[in-house]
Amino acid sequence: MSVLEIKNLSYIYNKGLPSETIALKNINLSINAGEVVGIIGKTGSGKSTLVQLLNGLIEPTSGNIHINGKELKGKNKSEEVCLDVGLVFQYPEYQLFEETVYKDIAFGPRNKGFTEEKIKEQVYNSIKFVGLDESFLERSPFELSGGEKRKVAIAGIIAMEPSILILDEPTAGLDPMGREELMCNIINYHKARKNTVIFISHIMEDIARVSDRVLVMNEGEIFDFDTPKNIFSRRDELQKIGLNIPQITKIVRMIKEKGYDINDKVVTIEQGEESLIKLIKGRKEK
Amino acid sequence: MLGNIVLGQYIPGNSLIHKLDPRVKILLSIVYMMALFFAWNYLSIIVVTLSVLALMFLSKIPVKLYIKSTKVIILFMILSAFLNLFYGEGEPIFKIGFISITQQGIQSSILVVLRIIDLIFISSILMFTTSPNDITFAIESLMKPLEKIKVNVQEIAMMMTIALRFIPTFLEETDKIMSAQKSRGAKFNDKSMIKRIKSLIPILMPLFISAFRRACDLALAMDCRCYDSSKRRTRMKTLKIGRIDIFAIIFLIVLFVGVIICSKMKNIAII
Repeated sequence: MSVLEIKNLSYIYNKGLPSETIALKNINLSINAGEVVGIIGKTGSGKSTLVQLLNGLIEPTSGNIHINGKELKGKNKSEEVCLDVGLVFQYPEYQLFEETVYKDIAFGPRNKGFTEEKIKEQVYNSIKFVGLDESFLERSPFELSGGEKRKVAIAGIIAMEPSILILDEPTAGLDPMGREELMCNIINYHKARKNTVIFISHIMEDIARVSDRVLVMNEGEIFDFDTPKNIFSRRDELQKIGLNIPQITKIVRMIKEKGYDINDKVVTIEQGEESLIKLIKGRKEK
Repeated sequence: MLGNIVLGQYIPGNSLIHKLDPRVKILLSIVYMMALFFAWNYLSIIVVTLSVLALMFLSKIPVKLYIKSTKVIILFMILSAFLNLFYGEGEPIFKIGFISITQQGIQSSILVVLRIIDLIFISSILMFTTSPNDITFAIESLMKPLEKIKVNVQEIAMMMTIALRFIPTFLEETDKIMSAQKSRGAKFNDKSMIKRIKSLIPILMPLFISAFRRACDLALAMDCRCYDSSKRRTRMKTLKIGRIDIFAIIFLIVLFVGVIICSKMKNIAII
């Protein structure tokens, strides 16, 4: 069942003004419940505009969006449907404002009208999902490190129990360890909740590792929407639109180009390892 | 959302008024306002109004924009005209109970409205034709004499420049924070006043924090480049009084003297 249906969606910034720019052109998209979708595309390709439309922050110039079968428009727009889509902005740590981490995480659920009991449960659950322990709840969000702040901000969205979680470059500006941790947390969260996760990233390895399908955006249009393996086998076309492929895919391809018989449809380290072992074993047997 | 707020009112152009030295423009605006104080009869206010209209024409900025700028205080204008109507002395023309309207009352309410309109037009000419940066330079330059009494004019000018430079940045930031809080279900249009004020906290808190963060970063960056406000600094663009500026000053002196003479003359019945 598709949780998200987009039909003929277009969005134009500053319509009718000299600065008019077309951000999205005629987007048609369907995302299944429980899917993890990675969005890639170079700066200005319309990724951020697309996710803001899904959250109802901006209204489409034309076309429509259905979430769980309900149209994101008019009456529904303000409440239920929008809050069913949790959007984590870029650098979400700048949205923290409460005195304690607990209060900050509770802000979203409270706005959604949860009972105090449910809020408490949600706060405790979501802080666990982002990999912080409960002692953080009583601290001020402003004394935390950058990575911890970001985790708190993400917990604030998760606590709203969205059926679709959207993350706009969640790992930007984090150190390698922080990035790794956060990606693991997102994967674990998805495994536990089985909800739909959409995330934008410029790190192809992250995209390849967690996505079921990858949406490639180029100049406001969908360039391709397919599994990571199929997407990253189109290296030359991707490079033309300013994108790259994961390093492991590059390495395996180079080996293949040298004339070795190796399965080059790999996108993660694990798959690469498997392919290489197969290759070496095959040669030994000969 | 906040993107459609016009920042400053500067409209780039190449007219005579645009070319005037910003210092001269500021001084002239002040003189104009003083002239308006003296214009207490029809003749003098007409002289001022006509000259303002001439300047508006010279600035080559659509009249529509000038009219738009008066909209903000239209209520204030109506109110002061209304009040002035009843405060005239002399023979009443119209009388209901204790309310009476005199010839003088009508005159003063017409004058008040014209003066307010002129005042707005003059400041609009200044704001439309001078970039915020030019205004800052001009103020710095005009405040130079204060250095004699140990006022650090450069520091004040630098603060003004920085403040101006950060307005768009903070607007953009406010926009971002508002979107972020909205997606967490924050509402900004609640009917209850108290709730509405409370709903500002999630925006203002992050905004203040980021303002302080930016201020610290900027201070550090300035320190790294050895900025020292007590040192005399040169500018890439220097202000020079040219021929048009001198013409403008002469025009203004003539106008000012003219207005004073006109205001001393007996009221000529025009209406």
